[in-house]
Amino acid sequence: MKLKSELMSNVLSLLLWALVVLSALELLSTIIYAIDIDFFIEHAYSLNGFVNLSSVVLYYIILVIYLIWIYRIHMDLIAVFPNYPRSPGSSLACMMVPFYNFYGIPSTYNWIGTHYSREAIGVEKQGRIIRWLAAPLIIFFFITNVLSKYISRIDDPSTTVLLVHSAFEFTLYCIFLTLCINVSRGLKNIQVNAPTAY
Amino acid sequence: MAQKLTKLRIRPDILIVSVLLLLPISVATYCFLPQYYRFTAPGEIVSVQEIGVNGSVSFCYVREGYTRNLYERWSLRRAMPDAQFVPADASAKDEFSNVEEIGEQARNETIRNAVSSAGEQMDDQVSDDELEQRLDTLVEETSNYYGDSLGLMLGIGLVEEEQHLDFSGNGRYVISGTGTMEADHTVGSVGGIRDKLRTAEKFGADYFFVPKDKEHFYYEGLSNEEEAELVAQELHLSLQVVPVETMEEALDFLRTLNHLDEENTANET
Repeated sequence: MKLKSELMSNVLSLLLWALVVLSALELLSTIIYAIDIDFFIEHAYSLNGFVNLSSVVLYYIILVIYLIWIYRIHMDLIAVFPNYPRSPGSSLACMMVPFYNFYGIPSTYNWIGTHYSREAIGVEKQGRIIRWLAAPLIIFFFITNVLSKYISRIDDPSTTVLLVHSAFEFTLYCIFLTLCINVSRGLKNIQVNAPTAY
Repeated sequence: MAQKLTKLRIRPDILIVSVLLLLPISVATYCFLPQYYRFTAPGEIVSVQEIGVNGSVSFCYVREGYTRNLYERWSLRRAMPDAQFVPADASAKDEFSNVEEIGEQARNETIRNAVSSAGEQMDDQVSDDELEQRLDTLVEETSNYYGDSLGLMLGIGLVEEEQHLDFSGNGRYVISGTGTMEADHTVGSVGGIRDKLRTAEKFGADYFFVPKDKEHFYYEGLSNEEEAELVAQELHLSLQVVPVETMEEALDFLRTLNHLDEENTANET
């Protein structure tokens, strides 16, 4: 069985790697800003601006790719686990419906993790990681969003707020990347083990 | 040969990612291409007390400078939503450095004139050493500003200090203004009248002095006096624009204002 999500998984992981690198650079320049503002303005301001702009555009590209990926992942999950409780359409709703997604996003990964751990062979580790990351994902997602809105509304955010925001953003993208890698790797392993497992 | 060609084929995911990554890189590169703009934006009114003068009046400053690319323009607009931009070229950088340099000299000159003009208002003559000392202190205190437009208000503030006056009527009025202080006590023309008036209005000024220069404005365009009248009408400002030709005219206006105020209080009592 060929996985429908394979191409999108590879594309999403590579793009997420790029976003993680960019957010690491942003975190680094925020640290420089916190330590020495004059040095930051002299040497890091332009680089930070370039990185900042690139990551904003990349973020929106990833958002679109992510929705396609989650849809395709659920098509594969239904093919692999016939009793899988969430359809591709409802998984999209879980991601996109405001407020409901505070439940929808972690529950989606919790379901995937649970099915990997309990109903497949050879992907218990991936299942464990995915379930373990479901709660931190929504916590970091929520805090990062609140901090982003706060920073965009006030004139002169404190260095601490900027540092915390950059650190949370970096961690959030790392969590997304880890989830993406483990979900797709889990499906690949299930596909490899398919003749013996099913 | 065929096998070699197959091996060289680029993976579709790599191709898609490369194309997608081009988009943010292109956007960021475009935003960092050299595109110069000059900008002016409202600043603040600053009490003369903040530069160590024991007076109640305020001078007004505006922000101006240049941006080198769209990103800087966008960042600046976020920080200063009222900023107004005019397209410029790469020479804006050098021009601005020159303006800053000339502005520093002009500021020092206007401070010297304000100190000596205020000194001449005194009954007792102030010694040269005292004037020089005061001048040095004020130059140091105003090092964050450039330009000579603080001259008039500094002169008024120094008169308040020397003669123990309070033209604000114990904080009843917010008095601000702009204009250079010349050696003969006349008030010279300045730039950025529109933004200065917007700033003064924003910070609740009741009276705003401008140079009375309609008759002797030697530059292109509207004189400070005409521009101030126009802006006050156009923006329906609640502050009162007061054109003055000399520092003495401004002092007379303020004395009359306070005198009227005292009379009104006495009548009410």
